[in-house]
Amino acid sequence: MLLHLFATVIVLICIYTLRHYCFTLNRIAGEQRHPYIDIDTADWPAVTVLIAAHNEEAVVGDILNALLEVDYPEGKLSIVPVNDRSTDRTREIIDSFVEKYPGRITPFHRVGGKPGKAAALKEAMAFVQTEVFLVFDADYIPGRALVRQLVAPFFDPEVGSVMGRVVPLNVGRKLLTRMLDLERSGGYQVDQQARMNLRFVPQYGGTVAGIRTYALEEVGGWNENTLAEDTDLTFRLLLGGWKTVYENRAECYEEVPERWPVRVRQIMRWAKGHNQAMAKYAAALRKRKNATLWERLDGLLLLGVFAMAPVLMLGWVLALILFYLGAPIGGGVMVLALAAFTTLGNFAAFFEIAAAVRLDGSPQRIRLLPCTFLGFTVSMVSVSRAAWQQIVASLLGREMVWHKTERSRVAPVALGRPA
Amino acid sequence: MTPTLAPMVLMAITGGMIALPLAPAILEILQRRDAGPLPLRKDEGNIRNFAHALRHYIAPVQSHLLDCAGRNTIEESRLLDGAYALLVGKPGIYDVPEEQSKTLILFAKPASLRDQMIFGKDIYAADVLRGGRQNIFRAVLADKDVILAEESQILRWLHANGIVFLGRNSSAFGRLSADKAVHFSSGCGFERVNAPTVITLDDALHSSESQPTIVRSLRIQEGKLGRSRIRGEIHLGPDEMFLGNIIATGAVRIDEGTRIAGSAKGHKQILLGERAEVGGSLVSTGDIRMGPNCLVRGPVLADGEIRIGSGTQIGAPGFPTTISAPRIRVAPGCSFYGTLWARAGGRVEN
Repeated sequence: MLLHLFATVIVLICIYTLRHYCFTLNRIAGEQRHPYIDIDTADWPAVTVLIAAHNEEAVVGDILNALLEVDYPEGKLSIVPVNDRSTDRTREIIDSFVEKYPGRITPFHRVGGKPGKAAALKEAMAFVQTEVFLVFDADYIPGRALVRQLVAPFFDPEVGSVMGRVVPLNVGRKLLTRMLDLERSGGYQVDQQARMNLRFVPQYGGTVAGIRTYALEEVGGWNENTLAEDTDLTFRLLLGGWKTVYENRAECYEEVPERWPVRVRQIMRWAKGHNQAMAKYAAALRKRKNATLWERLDGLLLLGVFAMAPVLMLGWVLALILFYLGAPIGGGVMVLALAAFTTLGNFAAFFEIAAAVRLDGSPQRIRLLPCTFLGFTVSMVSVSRAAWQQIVASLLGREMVWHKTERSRVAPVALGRPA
Repeated sequence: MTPTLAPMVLMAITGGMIALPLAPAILEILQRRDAGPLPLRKDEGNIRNFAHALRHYIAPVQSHLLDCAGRNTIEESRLLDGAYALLVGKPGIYDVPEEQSKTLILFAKPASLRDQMIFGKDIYAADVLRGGRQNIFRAVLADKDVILAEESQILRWLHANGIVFLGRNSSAFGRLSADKAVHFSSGCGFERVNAPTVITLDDALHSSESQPTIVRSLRIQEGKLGRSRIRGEIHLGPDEMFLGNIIATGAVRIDEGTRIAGSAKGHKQILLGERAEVGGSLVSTGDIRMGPNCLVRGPVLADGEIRIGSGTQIGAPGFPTTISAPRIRVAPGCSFYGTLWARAGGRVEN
């Protein structure tokens, strides 16, 4: 029994390893797909930009400045800051912008209701009268061309959502931020773009992203009962026959966590939300025919990503138990090989990061690659803990709580004009 | 070695061996040589970026060029980086000596060039520039029209504030843009083209037509359009009307005279019959074939090849759009409004 379980763990790890290798090799040697990047001239549709903001006094001014500067027909761009029950100066800052730029910003000050980004966005949909809308978290700083880059794929009638690339801005602050920078590079430059190249399932990430209003309505609107509305929406769109596309060149700066407790809370929330989506959509994905076979396979693996951390830990425990029980697992060599393999998280992820850094043309930061071991270890423990909490919460019937990621920015960044 | 020192040395060596692979990481943490955020792309993809850069580069000698024009002289000047520029203030045919064709040349007045000349550096023309047969240009910036004779080649880019006329069998590699229009003749090659109006003619240099056809207005469907997602192929018969967006996992065939109010996407070939109209965009993961006299309002995108029949109009004045594919083949007699982008190469057929 234990031996079979152990074998299953190894098979699962190997599948994910193979997946990482395929993505990395595709990015290095495969054909790259950027089907919408050439759309530089068009009769651009009207678009609404929703900015999710909950206690964002440190950052909300920067994103408003940046959005006022974007290269998009002015009469067709509606900016809606969604001030979700903030108790700091967020409201005051937004209102000062509204006063200074009359007619360009329509604020939505939410004072009550269910907590969480999805619940806030759900109520904010009353402000969306356009065919397409974009979503940004308040700590993001869009470049001038970003809105056009995110809107262009919607000329394809099959596209339901679009995801841009997130680039950390506060990289040099701490070792943690530098590691997160490497992780983000691997995740977007390799993972997301490879899924785009292979026509798999690029993930809608909830920010630096666009959604077709009609597609969202068709799949039932925002789900406020999830901790990861982005993953939830990705799979509902996929099941509904809509495509999510990734635009690697639609780059946007973000602020990554600078403190380990903040990072731990962030990844635990992601893990819980992702696992919710797995429980909800994995079975449906196996049956529904709206997606191709490859999309369904990749979708299943994507759903299982956060479940792999506890699986990996289980593998360690099983290996030790089986070794001391004298089970035929190849003895010490096998344990050593497995440990060497699995202590590095999922070994191939390092190849993704190395490939991403090379593609980004930033060779010096590759030297930090061994440090990501620390990040992976913390992530693995946090994600496993999240999974455990989730199991306990579901057994006891507890409701999960949405935690906002704390910001560390103390002064406006010098990318936009002052308010 | 003493019994006390030996284990300490062993520990130090072991520790060193463990730390050695981490040395580059530790150095990078301490020295922070690559600790800044990744630079985002500054190039917003504007086709006119090179033209703007050249205009900025030659700005310091503009007053000298005006002086040359006033004196009807040809003079040399130095740019800020020390490079020479030839300032031609005389109008008419200028027979550029071979050694000067490797210099940046600025024409102040209408200029004509002899046949078979090769220009190794950029050219700026403040007035109309008329090229000779089989001229080869590196890059051209013109404040008015540019008329290139048969079999000319532009190697990097060309921008004109007026109209660009390309003679038969000319090739525009790289970027070609104009603030008014681009007129291609048959046999011309292109890559990336942008202008309010792009038209293809049998012979753009000797045609009295400014437009190949009467510009047709596009009926725009107001309100939300639903979508029909079909597994397999879809075929719309002749002279039908479809209100909505069509997505097919297979090929899409739209027969002559049929109109789709929304957009159409196919995961194989898309075939548009004669006079078919698409009110939105046309997207294919394969090829797109458009019969004569079709009308498409939105972007036309294909992962394969786009073939466009004569009399076809894509976009409209005031409704610019993009046509993009690795390969584009266009028949003479078509009109486009906006961008025509053939990543591997496009051609106007004979």
